[in-house]
Amino acid sequence: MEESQYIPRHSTHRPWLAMLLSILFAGLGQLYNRSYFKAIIFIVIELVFIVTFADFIGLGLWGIVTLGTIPKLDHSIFLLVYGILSIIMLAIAALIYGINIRDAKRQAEQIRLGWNRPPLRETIKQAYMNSFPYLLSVPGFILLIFVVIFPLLFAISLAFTNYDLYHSPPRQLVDWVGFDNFINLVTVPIWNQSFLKVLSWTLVWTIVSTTLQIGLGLFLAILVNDKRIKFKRLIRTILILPWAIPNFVTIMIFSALFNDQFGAINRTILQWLNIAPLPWLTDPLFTKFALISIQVWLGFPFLFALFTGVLQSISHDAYEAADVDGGTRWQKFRYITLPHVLFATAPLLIIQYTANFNNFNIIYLFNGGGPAVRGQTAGGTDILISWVYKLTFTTNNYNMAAAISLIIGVIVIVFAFIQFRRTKSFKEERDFG
Amino acid sequence: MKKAWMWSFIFILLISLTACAPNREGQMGEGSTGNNEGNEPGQQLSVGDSAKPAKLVVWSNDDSNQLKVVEQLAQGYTAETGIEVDVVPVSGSEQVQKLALAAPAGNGPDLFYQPQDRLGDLVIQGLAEPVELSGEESGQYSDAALQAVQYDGATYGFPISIETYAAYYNKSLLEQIPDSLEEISNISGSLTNVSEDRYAFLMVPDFYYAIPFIVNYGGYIFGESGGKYNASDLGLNNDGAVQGMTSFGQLVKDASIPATMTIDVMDTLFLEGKVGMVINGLWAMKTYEDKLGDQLGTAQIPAVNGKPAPSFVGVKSWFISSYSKHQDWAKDLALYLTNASNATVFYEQTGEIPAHPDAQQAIANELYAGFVAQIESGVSMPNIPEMSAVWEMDSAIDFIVKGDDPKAVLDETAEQISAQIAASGQ
Repeated sequence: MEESQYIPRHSTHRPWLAMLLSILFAGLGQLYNRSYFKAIIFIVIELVFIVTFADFIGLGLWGIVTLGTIPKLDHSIFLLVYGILSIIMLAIAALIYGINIRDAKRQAEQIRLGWNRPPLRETIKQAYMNSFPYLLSVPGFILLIFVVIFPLLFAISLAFTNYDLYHSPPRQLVDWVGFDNFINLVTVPIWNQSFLKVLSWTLVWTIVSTTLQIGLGLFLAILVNDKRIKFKRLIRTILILPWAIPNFVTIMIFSALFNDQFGAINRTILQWLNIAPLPWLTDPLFTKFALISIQVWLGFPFLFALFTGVLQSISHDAYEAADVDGGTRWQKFRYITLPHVLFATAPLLIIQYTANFNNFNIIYLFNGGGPAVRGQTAGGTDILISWVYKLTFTTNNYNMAAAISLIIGVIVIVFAFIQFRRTKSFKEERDFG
Repeated sequence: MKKAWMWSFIFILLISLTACAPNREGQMGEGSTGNNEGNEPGQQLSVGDSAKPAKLVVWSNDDSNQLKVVEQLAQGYTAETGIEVDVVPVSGSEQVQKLALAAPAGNGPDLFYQPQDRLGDLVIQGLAEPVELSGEESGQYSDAALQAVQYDGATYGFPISIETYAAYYNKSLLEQIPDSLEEISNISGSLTNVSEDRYAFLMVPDFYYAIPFIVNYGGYIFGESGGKYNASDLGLNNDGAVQGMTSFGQLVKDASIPATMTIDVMDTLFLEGKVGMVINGLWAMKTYEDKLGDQLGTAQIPAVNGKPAPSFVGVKSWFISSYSKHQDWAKDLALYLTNASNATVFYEQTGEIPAHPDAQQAIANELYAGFVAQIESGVSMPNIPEMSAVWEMDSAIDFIVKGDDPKAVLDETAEQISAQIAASGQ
């Protein structure tokens, strides 16, 4: 080295060189910085990564680009999975690499400013203290990657392939088709014929059934919370009961009750009221009405329990103050009860809406999306998700299912995101009040 | 500065990426040409396979009765040949999906179980291997059963059992069932009283049960030539089919069958002794027999349009996996599992009608007579994947039963079915 003796060594230390070395190979910059311990860790990590994963990542990246070239030998779906795993691993590697480069540069800058290296023990202790929260959250984060992010990426990828029965491995290969599936969705008659009808009913279903179940839950909670009501515990237990029975059992029983010919509703109740039998399962309008009623029945107990909990936590002082000021019953509800309740439960209410948007069970079990409607592939009460199910299972279009699911996902995410952003309860406490 | 790092990662990643890909491609190319030559439909495998394998793997349906009998028969095979048979319970409805992943990875079975209507899916995904049966070997199966496991002119399966639906009747209400379904109105008057839930005859108005009316009046599902179905030739809205469906609509009206009739309601009413005759599958026999005892009778479905009514026939079958390394022995095992004596054992344990003609004849239970006779005139459900779109006909039947014009409904439905088939990506 050509450093002169008159200049203190540290002032000639070059951060850009440390950075460049670390870019060339993780740890080299640290070596230049004379942080030998760190350097060894980084070098070992990179070596191990290359030795262990190079083949797999090579295969994965090749696989995700081509999805296989030889039918029967290459299994496109496996290759897609390998490819996604490789990309996830590369992303993690890039993160570590980035840390390595940033560390090399920072340390080099500090050395240049004349920083004295603490003893090794001290460094390790310091590093441990700093990284402790990260160490604890790493297992959870890795789990999250494989349980949530990986399947999500897989499903999203399928929406851009031609994966259907006739392009199914092992005999056939799957290919990337870009946005073809989405284009087909709006141009091919069997897809676009029913789309708008189904979408509009899905929205009506979501908004009406969820709002009614929230309204009923709130109404009953306030009623039961009133001081004058006796046997609160008994009433609450009874009102929670619909929640205690598995959903699908309730739906099947309701389906039998609503049967046009033999159901107890037409047979007994309506006859008793002297009303002619109604076509509950054969007329779309009546089926819709029945579905919404059943969903309200199924959904209100949870909300009732939720609101009851919140109501009991509202301080009486506020009501007493309102009484002193001469507030009416409605004003007390509007300005004390409602804000408290909504503030505490808004996130859960949003989840109620999104859950009903995709409430497959009730639609499918009650009447299979029926009754059938002339001239469209979707039944009269099919919502998006049950319609997708039908279409995939009658035409074996996994790619289409993925594409429509992606659209459903985007709708739900956008809706939830806007709502969450506007809800005060998601702001952190310090931003509030 | 931050950007500079970003670009340098990307640069390095790209280098490693491009470095890996061609290398891998070379490997794949070599590996595949080698393998592909050897892999011409089963040849290399069957030649080098005369050596006994140590073990064969069988995926059985996970139904407890079936599983038990397969395990029992497999032990017999082990005793006879010394080959260990590993019976793995895998739900029948999930086998195809699991097979497509497990078999290429080398974790698949040698022999697996499927109903014949999935055969098209199996062949298109390259999972089932065609088999050559000698005259003696094919004598183990009834013609109807063998017919059902054909695809594109080749035989694929080793039929285990046959299932279909037939007529059950309540002897205390009906001494004898009518000769033809169209004559139902004759017996209908005295036995039917809708307000008391009494019916002379009930059936579920679904395409599955209504197929005799399509076929016997001259309609068909797919055109057939040389043992192959032609999916672009739909016969569901030709004059015969329209006539048949008109007649079916009339039958439903004459017999006052409610449009929302379901299997559950029908079963309940029949068990309560309120219905003279129903059409239902073999699977309902146990329940009916337990409740009605001696009063229960079975018979072939009464004639439709003057001809025996052809019901849909399903065949459960063993298939050899295309990825099996011991296809010869898998075939041997499949033949063993379905031979005359074992088919009888299978019938005794599961109550399903065996595909073996001798075992079929040997059934002593009188109640099976109606079903065995019914199978004679049955039609096998088309096993091509396009069939799944045909179930759209269920909606068509709903409309016709409600009183819509059959011609208009069937034209519309046939168009939808064609569109769905076109959209299925073939």
